[in-house]
Order: sequence, then structure tokens, then C-alpha cells
Amino acid sequence: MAASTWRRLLDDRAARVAGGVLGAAALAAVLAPWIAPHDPTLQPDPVALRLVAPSWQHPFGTDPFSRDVLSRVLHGARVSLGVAAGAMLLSVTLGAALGALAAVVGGWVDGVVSGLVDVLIAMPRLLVVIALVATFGTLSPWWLVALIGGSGWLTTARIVRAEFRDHLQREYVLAARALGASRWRITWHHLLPAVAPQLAVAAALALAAVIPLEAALSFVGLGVQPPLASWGNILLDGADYLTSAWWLVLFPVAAVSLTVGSALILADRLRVAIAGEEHGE
Amino acid sequence: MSALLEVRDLVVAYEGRDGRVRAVDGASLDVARGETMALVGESGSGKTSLGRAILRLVPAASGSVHFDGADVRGLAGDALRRFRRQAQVVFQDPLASLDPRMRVGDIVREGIDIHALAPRADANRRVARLLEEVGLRAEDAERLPHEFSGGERQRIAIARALAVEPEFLVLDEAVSALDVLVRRQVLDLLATLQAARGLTYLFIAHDLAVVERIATRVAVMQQGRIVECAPTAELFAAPASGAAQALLAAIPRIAW
Amino acid sequence: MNPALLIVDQLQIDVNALRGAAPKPILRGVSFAMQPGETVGVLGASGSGKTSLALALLGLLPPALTARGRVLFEGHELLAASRGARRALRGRRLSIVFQEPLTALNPRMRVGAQVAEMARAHGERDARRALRSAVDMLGRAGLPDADVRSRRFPHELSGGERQRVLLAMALLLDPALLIADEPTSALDVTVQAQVLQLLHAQQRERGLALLLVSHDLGVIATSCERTIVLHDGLVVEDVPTRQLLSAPEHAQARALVDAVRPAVRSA
Repeated sequence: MAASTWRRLLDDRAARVAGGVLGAAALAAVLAPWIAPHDPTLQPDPVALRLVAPSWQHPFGTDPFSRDVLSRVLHGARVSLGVAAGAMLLSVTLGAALGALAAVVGGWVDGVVSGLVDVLIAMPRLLVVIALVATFGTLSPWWLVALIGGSGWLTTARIVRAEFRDHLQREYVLAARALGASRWRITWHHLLPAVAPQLAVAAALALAAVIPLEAALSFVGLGVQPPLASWGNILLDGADYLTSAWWLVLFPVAAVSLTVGSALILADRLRVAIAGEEHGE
Repeated sequence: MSALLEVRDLVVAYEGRDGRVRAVDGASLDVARGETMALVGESGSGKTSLGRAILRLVPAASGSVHFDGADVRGLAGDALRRFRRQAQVVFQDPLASLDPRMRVGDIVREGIDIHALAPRADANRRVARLLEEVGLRAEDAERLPHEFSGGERQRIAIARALAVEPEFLVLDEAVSALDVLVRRQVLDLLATLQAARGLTYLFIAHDLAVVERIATRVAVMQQGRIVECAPTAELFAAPASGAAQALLAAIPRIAW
Repeated sequence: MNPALLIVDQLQIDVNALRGAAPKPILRGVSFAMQPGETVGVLGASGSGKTSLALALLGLLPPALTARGRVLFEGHELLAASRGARRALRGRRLSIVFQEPLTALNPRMRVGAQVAEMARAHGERDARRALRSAVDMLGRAGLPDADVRSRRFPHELSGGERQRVLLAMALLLDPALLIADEPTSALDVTVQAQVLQLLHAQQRERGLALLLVSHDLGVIATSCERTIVLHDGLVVEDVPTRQLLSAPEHAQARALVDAVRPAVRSA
């Protein structure tokens, strides 16, 4: 029946558009080295080509160091979306694993995981990540993935634990237990497929949360370090010219907004598709 | 007749809102090999909990369950795996009891896989045979549970239980959700399977009318205890307990 | 001629065509009439279309289904009526009790308030008077300690008690026709017997007409003078219940009768 959830999603125009935007952004990120018109770090003429407004030569204009903004946005997508996707995968996997463990094993394991979630969920994520980054100094993108991903598993763990506990009471799981199925088998064959749509929602929401998080970190100078471009640090480079060079703000902000908005729409439509599933039968 | 199942003073307790609730409160019951023992009672009388505790799907607080001489509550490892093959269950709501995401063939094959009863190609042949035995078609293995009617789904659940070749089936309100015509067909199927495979049934129901045709004996449960146990004809003719009398009186009386 | 309470004339219900597939019929031209105060059973196996029939009479069909034909209730054509006109009749002149009392109640609202809401939706301005009549009705519907239990939430009541709440809701405004769709199928047999008795008593006391939909002739035979047998979207029998029991003509009717015939025991 999960199959029809996906089919319903494909029938949904808003979901298709949102998916298309995310797909296009991902494709642009992957193909950036080939489709970017210029080298994103090249400073051809820091005097003459400084802060040039959008033109055919530089569709998104140039930044204070005469670098081509379009090329930086495209290459920035590699870093920003790459970090976001990695962090999303890490947080959803970690959340699913810990939530599943808590529900299936129960007892003190459940107590520890649930307690941890309750304590950590009260902490503001951005501040915690900023504090950690500030402690360790500047970080490579890999460390960003680990930090952002490692701090984002809480809600997923909660959802998975609640769903698992619900399904563990259901008769099809009882029937599997009566057949002698191990907890591992029940988790893998019955429970994980059951929560797959909810995991997809959690993943889309995680994506929507981590893209601005990376941008924010990079904007305050704690994230991706120049000359490597990311959507956040393009904005940082333009921070002093907000009134004079609008293109330095518009394009990276638009990139963040479009991807985050699409991820949110996708999460929402997926929820609708799942609800349709449950009411459909 | 030797008793296949012996339940003594079994207690099943849950943590309820108002402290511990004893769903089963000292129930004792013998089921002989090859018979159909009906277990009837109002909802809340503890019959489902008793059935699940016998199968060790919920833990018992005290008392004993012996199956084929073995102490079920103490089983572990291989002995527990053997018990899982010997004793199976069919639930009331066949839609809830079948994983909606699995194909019927995979559902029926699950027990064969778990107990490694047959290599893959052989397992599929077995699944096809089982589906035909319960009145479905071998091709149905490819379909999903929601494509079937209620009665057909219950047949799938029965095929899944039979796949591990059990001796004993707990039928927990297995026909209660079916309409009268389908109910009759499923009861006929259960009788045929019992004769062919020498099965022993514990048939849980809230409706005495349902068990009249198929039960050898009827045990009546009330507030966690077995208050009466008698051969079916005897119980229908002269119910001794108040609970049995109430259940009997509740059967809609048609002036024929 | 006696003015009929309800006339169903060539009622057809189709599953709306999806993407080029032909519409699938659920009812294929069902006709029958009911007099005021009459008790009629609609007997059918699952899939016979009996629940769709009940929903169509109230204008509660899901959007995926379309009804055609004519349904005249107290002279009003229901299928053509506006949503507002139908809503004004629903609850006040014709009511329904569903099979599953838990899903038919709002889980977050005390049951007394839910019954009172029924009165308020149909024009009772005084909230306290609405609540008082609701509690009174709950008592008459057989809810023990109605003044205490009317303050409970649905999940705090048993299945039988919830069904009594639904019945109180359905009967509060003294409708002319009560449609009961498998009202006891989700209940224990002992509770089922009580609810049927209650239904029967209320029907006689108020002289309301009862359309009782069930797959179980045992349920219908205890309360209905006449039985309509639905099979495959068609009426295959429409006879006094006694006649159906003694001499069912259609094969499907025979099967449904045989299903409730007590076992003949060779002693």
C-alpha cells in the first residue's frame, strides 16, 4: 500500500513542482564544474570588475572580489546542498536507528534514548551548533555534516519510536511473533517498511531545516570557509553592500528559499498522501 | 484423549490507569488433542488475553501453561522455536493481521522462511499449495491483502498459520468480523482443515451461536476465570453459570 | 392512497469513473416504499450495496460515489435537494446510527455536549436547556447514571454505552425515520440484545419508522415486520419477514436464511 502513497504523490502537481525544483538544484550542484560560466574563485580584475551589476557576461553580477556570482551560486550549491543532504541522511538514519532501538528493545534502552531526546530537544539547535563550532574552530564541510546531522536526529527518533510502538501492538506483528519471527526480522520486514513514508516526511523536513542552518553558520563565518563558495558565505561577502549590490543578496537568498520551500511543500504533500492512504481503504 | 494443552491458575495482569488489572485471574483449562474447545465470554472477560498468554504473546504473571507436556512459560531457544511451529493463531480482523505492504505469497511464506522449512523454489510451491488448500488460487500470491474481501483475507491468515504445520490453532474471534454467509464458509473450511490435518482448535468467540456447530466443548469465561466448561450440547441444553445463561439468552431468537 | 413516508424509486449508485474506466455500479435500480411507523430490514451480504443505500438516503455518500434516481422523504426529493435543505432534515426528520460508535463520536468532546450539540445545530438557543434535554435523552436511551456519564468522553464509555449515546443523538429531535446501519455488529452479543431491545422499544414508543440494515437476519427478524433482500445492487425480495423465514424464494435469500437457522442436532 505504500506504493500507492508514492503514486498519490506523483499525481500531486505541487509535489511534482517541488520535487522538480529540488531535482534541478541537485543536478545543478552535481554539474556545477561543467555548467558554471567561470571559475568561482577566479578574481579576474578586482578593480574593474568589482561589484558589476548583472549583465550577459555575468548574469548574477560579480562580488567585491570580481568573482562571478552565478558560478559561485552553482558551486555553492555543491557545498550547501551537499552538506545539507549529508546532514539530512545522517540525522534521519541516526534518528530511525535510535528510535527503532528504543521501541523494539524497550526497557532501559528505551529509557536512555527517550531521556536523551527529552533533554536535547529543549536545547536550541543553532546555538548549540554555533557553540560547538566556536569551540573547535573552523570546520571542514565533513565536520559540518557530522555536527548538523548529529544534532538533528531527535524528532525523527521520536516519530519512529512512536510509530514502532504503535505497530508493535498490531495484530500483524503479533502474528509474525507467533510464527517465531525475531525482533530483528520484525523490524526489518514489517516495521521499517511501515514507517518509510513518515521517514520520507522527516527527511524532507530535515532538509528544510539544515539548508538554512548551514547558510546561517557560513554567514556568521563559522561554516564553510572562503574561498570555497557556499550560499551562506556568498551572502557574507555581500553583507557590506546590501544597499548598493542587491544581486549579492537576492540570488543566494533565492536559492535557499526555493530549495527550503520545495522541501517543505514536498513534506506537506507527502503527509497528505499518507493521510489519503489511511483514509482510502 | 490426552490433553494437548493444560492451563492451570493462569494470571495475566496489565498496568492499567487504576493500577494493575487482572485480565486473566486464575484461569484453568484443558484442551484435548483433536477437539475444538470454544472459549466464550463478553468483551473484557479476558478470553483474548488468555489466548495470547497461552501462545506466549503476552507474559503471564503466574500459573502454568503446558503444551504437549512442555512448560510453555519456561521455553527458550530451540524449544521455543519448536513451540512457535506447533501453536499458531488467527486473529479477528484479517486486515489488521496481514502486513498491508507485503504480497500474499510473502505473508504466507514468512513462517517457512523463519523456520527454514524449504528451499526457495520449494517454498513457493508450498505457498501455492497452501493457498489452494484454503480455497484461494496460486496466482493470488502476487497480490496485496487489500485486494481481497474479508473472507478471503481470513483464508490468507489461515494459510499463513498452516504454513508451519502446526497442531494447535488459537482462532481469536476469527469469524466475528465476517458476514453470516462468509462466516459459514470459513467455518466449513476450518472443519475441513481440522479433519484433514488433525488440528486442535481453541475457538475464541463472544457469540455462542457461532460456536454451536463446531465446538466439541465450550468454556465460558467471566472476569478472568473459567466459570463453566461443558460439552456443547449439554451447555446449550442446561447452562449452569449465570454467564452462560446470559450469553445463551442473547442469541437473537427467531420465531420460525 | 396512504401517503408514504419514504419512496425510493430506481435508485442507482455508481463508483465514479476514474481515468477512462467505466463507472462501477453499486446499486442498479433499487425501489421500495416505507409507511410512517413501519419497520423494514435491509438484508444483504457484504458488498450487496446496503451501506451505500443507507448513506444515499441521508445524502452522506462519499464524493467517489454518485446517486441517481429519486428518493422522496415526506414529499421532499432528497437527491435533488440542496445541501442546506438536506442538512435541515438530517437529525430532525431522519437520523442514522452507524456500526462503529467510536469513530462516529468526536473523541475530544464530552458525550452529553455532543448530544446537546445536535439540538443546538437545529435551532435550540439555550445551551443549558439543550444540555438538559440531552442528559434526559441519554437516560431514556438506557445510559446508566446519565447525569454523571454525560460528562465522560467517548473513550471512557463501553461500546454498548457509546452506541446508546449515538442512539440518543439520533432520537433527540424525534425524527420520523431512523436508519440503523449494522448498529450492533461491533458489539458483544449480550450488549447487542440490549441495544436491539432499546431500538425496538423506542420505535414503538415514538411510532418512528425504522430501516435496519444488517447482514444478519437474526438481528432483523427480531425488530422488522418486512425485509428487503439486497443482492448485487438489486432488490431480490421484498416480503414480510415471516414469509422470508418460512419460504425464501431467491437463492441468495435462502442462503442468508439458512445461515441463521439453528443447527439441527442429532442427539
